[in-house]
Amino acid sequence: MKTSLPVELSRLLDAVDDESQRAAWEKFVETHSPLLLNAARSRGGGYDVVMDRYAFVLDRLRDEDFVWLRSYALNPRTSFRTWLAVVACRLCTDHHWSQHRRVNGDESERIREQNAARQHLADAVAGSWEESATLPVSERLARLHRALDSLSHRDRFLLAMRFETDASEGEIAAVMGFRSSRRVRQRLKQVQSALRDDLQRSNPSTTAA
Amino acid sequence: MPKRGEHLNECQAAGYLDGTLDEAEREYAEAHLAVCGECRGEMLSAARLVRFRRTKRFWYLAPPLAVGLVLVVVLLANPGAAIDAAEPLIGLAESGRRVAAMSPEDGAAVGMDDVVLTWSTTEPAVTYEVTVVNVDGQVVWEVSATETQVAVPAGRLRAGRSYAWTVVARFENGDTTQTEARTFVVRR
Repeated sequence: MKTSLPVELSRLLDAVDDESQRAAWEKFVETHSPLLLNAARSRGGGYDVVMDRYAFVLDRLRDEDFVWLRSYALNPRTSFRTWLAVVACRLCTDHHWSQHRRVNGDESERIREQNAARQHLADAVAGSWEESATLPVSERLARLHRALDSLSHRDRFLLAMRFETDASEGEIAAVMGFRSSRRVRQRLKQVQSALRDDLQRSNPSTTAA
Repeated sequence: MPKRGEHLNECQAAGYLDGTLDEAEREYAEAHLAVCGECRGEMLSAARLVRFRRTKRFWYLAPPLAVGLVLVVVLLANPGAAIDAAEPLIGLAESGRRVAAMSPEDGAAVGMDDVVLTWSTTEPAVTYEVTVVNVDGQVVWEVSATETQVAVPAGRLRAGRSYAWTVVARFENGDTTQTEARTFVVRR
């Protein structure tokens, strides 16, 4: 499915001289500034940091004769606004890393957060997993990891959204295409129940019986 | 298209959010999103930017809808109040009373323990009804104040989340006026 280009984007990419390109760029910025500014704000920081980030995003969109925007125009399969929101978030991330060089500590922090999320999931699932309380944490997490591998990609994504991000159920529904937050809750319940069953089955004393 | 290593590219991420990927592309995207925290975070941020705007429209409706509901109840209870009820609405435009949100600035990032909402009016009101809602439009806190400043209790907010707030000023003669909705995000 192809979508048509927004007028302000067409005019910008089709501009034949500097003056019309400048006017088209001003119109483009005027139209999309609210979204780009909100993207810049969403990463936090004071006024100067946000404006610096916003300026970075605009500069990158202009770079190399609007190469990012031209790449969208070549094959516009999604809504321009959604695409621009994704690009804006990515550019804000790039700006963040250009200001704060990524160091090993960040990777360790990421792994710590991931392990904390897995522990949170293990605790959520352990409700009726009878012998979980007697297992060492490392064994509990290892078994959970094996059980997670048996889930579909979509269910694993759902669990990651629930336990490794701060997304509300409504936001999870919006991102993953569920019809409502109630459907998200229902599916989470089913997945957690399936995980518990898998973990019960993996207990040697249960299978021997 | 500019490459981004092994992460989802912009078209894949946007296509997933818009629901325009075919089945194989969607499977691929979900397989990656299940294991990549960076792409998940970016996708959630983008979704909030796009969906957020659509939801935000309803925040403007919440206080006037509440006022409208009260008016309907009053009119049903006392039909003769129709004329009296209409006057404050007419007076609202003619009186020129205004209330404006002052701080924090729209979209500002604030500390969890530092969310102080302030506003100003052209003349003092009897009460100010403050409403704070989350991105889903749910009311997380509301209070009726007599000063032009309130502090949002930290326990009502979550780090990393965005909220919107409005103030409805009620004057002695029954007039009401309200601020435009403003947003803030609580720092992690």
